[in-house]
Amino acid sequence: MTGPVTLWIVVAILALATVMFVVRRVSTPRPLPVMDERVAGLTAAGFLPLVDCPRGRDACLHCLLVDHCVVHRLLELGLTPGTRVRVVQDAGGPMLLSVRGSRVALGRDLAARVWVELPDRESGKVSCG
Amino acid sequence: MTPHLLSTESNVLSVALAGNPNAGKSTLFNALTGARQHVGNWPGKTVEQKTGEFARHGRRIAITDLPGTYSLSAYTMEELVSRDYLLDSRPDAIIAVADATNLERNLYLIVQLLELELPTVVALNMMDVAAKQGLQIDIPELSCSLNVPVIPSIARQERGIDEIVAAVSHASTLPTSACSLDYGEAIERAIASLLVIINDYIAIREYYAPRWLAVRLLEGDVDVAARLSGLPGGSELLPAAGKRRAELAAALGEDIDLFIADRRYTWIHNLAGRVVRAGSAHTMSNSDRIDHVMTDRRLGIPIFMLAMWLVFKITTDLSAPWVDWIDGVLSGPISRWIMTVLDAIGLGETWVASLLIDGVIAGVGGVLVFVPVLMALYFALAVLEDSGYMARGAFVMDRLMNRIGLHGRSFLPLMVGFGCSVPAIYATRTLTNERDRIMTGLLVPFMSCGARLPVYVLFAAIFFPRYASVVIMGLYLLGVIIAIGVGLLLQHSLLPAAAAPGLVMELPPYRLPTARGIGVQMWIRTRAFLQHAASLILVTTIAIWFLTAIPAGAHGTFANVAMADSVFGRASNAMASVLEPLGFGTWESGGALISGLVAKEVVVSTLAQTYGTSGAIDEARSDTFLQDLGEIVTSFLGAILDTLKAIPGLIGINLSVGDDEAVPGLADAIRASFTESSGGHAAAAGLAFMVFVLLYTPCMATIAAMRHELGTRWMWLSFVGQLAIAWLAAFFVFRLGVWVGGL
Repeated sequence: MTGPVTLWIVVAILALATVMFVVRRVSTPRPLPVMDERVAGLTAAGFLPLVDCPRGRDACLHCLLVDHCVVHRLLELGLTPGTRVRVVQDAGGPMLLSVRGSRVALGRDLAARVWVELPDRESGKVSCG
Repeated sequence: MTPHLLSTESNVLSVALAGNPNAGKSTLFNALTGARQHVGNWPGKTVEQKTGEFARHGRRIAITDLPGTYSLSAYTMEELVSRDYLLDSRPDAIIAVADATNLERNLYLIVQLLELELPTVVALNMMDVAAKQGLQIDIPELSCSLNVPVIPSIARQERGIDEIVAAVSHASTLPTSACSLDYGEAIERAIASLLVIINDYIAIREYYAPRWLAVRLLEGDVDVAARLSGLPGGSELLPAAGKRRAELAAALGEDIDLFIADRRYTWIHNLAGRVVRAGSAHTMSNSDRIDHVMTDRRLGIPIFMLAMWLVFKITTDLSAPWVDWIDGVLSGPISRWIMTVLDAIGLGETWVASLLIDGVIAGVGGVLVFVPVLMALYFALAVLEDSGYMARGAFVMDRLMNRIGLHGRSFLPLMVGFGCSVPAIYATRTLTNERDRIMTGLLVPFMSCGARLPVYVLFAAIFFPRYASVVIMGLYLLGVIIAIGVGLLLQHSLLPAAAAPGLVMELPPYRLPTARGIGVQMWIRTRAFLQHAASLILVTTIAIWFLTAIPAGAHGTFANVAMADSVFGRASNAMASVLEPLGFGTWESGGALISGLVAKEVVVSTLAQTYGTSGAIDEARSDTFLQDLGEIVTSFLGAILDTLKAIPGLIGINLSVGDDEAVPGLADAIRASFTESSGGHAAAAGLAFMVFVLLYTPCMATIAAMRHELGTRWMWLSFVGQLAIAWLAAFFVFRLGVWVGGL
């Protein structure tokens, strides 16, 4: 049976394209938008992103380098600059934080853009809410 | 008493229930209304709306449960819905539920509610948990600072309910005065200047609380701006607000709305400092200890998989005896009684009998068999949700699901979809934003549901007897792969991921679910299904009956016609030419696929009918009414017994494929027919048929659920899109089979 050969070819190309598209999407992680300047400035000033924050230590929230609309969601949950936060769980995926007495999960991409300050161990000079 | 007071007392008091998610809002709602509640959607939205009415102290109260939100800005659908309701429907009073263990975060919403200047009562909930944590809350001071009544309550134990109702009835008769949250000098000056303009226009001043409006305008709320643009005074107010915003932005050096949010939290933080006496903020609670295991890097995912597997088993195994029971009662005693009655009035053996038995009763059965399945699902979901585990599942699955542009929360509906698509579509309600709900709902039908399994079993046994299990597993896998592909396509076309910025979610503390909470959820949600999906399923079944009853040609009369000669048969014939390139272009398989639109369960039985191999229906029994009744009761008890027996089976693995009714001759008939239609490549055609059944348009019940949950537009997309995907995939499989495999 010969069948509609052209149609078959079109379908094969479509299917191949879909498969390649899927494979590429799944194998490459989403890149973070570049915010080098601010990041470099913050790093130099001794701040660190939440993803690098050690588990179980209080830190002071410094700033949120995320979209305006996401900032609002974080603010609603009590993540305002100057708030005391603590990483409760970091299992490689999202981070679990303790903020103002509640537990908040933050996707890893987001946690990489939330900057905190760790208090100095000796002087404990960071004072936050 | 003033006449005003008398008139409101005779009326129904409308009350809105607002609060953070997990603050105990639903528990309070259930305690107030019991099962007298109505669940629907907010008009035009996919956000769930719950309303209820009750009477207490001689007062009739109509209560609307607003979606749980963390603020009243308009960034999410839930917030917008809540705000529109409060602004436009103007309830007589608001009950603002606050979690006493987490006062700061809860007050953030409450101070915004208070700015609306509607009579408000704060229900300070979970006082027992707060006491256990050693928190002491100075309620008079809190009430004084907020300038509204604050009532301590424990909704789970139904304590404080009467006091809340009394306070609400009382508050709704008093004039309101907003609490005075000081936004700082610069903002306050801008507010004052806007208030001057607002007070000039009655239309604006009467409709919106002036101070709230001024604050929202300074925050740059586009929704509020749109509301004002049509009103007189809007043309003066909006430019003035724009100017103030520009001035403030220059003076403050940061976004005004962020500054305002910060001021709110500062004010609240100070208030909480005065009112709450507590130990340290970051203590390790029992909940944290459980989380330590549940969200562990290695254990998290296996524990979640186990939980999902239990949900899946509960929805299928625990409900199965009841599905059989309903099926047995309807097709047995009930059908027999109807026949007896019809015989008595002389209508037996006529088309009326056929319509009632094969159309109406079959349709009712098609609806009712979902009831036990849904009850079981809602039971499992309610336990997961009320205990707080649901949020943990989303947490551990987030990383994997992110890859296809979904959040961890979407995993559960997809998993349930392997049992049945209908409850899976309803399970998308647990997702918190509309985009994720639609995306997940569209992907659910690609998870091969239990009803499709008999088709695979039959065809795999016919065409791939040696590799049957491999083929069946491959089909399940194919569904998942296609779902991933479709998910990625949607993410880059209709449902961009920009709307899903990443996981931001509160994990509520673990709590023991209450029997009442679970019972109410099961009942209310199942009832909602019956109300919304039932009519569509029933109508479709009856429509199909009519199509098989109406003769298309000269042969036969109404309701007395061979299937091939009915309108249904002719329509199937038309289908056949479309299916021709797939290798199974026969009217028999076309007909089976059409009836599969009603329910996938009937694909095999329709094949048996169209190939004319179905056995004789046993009608020879002549039981008495009492015997029938006895049979119903015995089988009911049997179902209870089977359910109990199924409980230990939840833990063990039991992969029985169900009772395969041997249909004599059907296998041979299918093989012969497929060999002919595919030009000698029967196996390739058989595989293509299975792929088609896996992927094509879901059953009517799922379509009805989709219309209910996602809206008509997305329902049609799913309907048409899946047909196209199924056709292409089956075509590809058939051609590949013919070309490569030489099958």
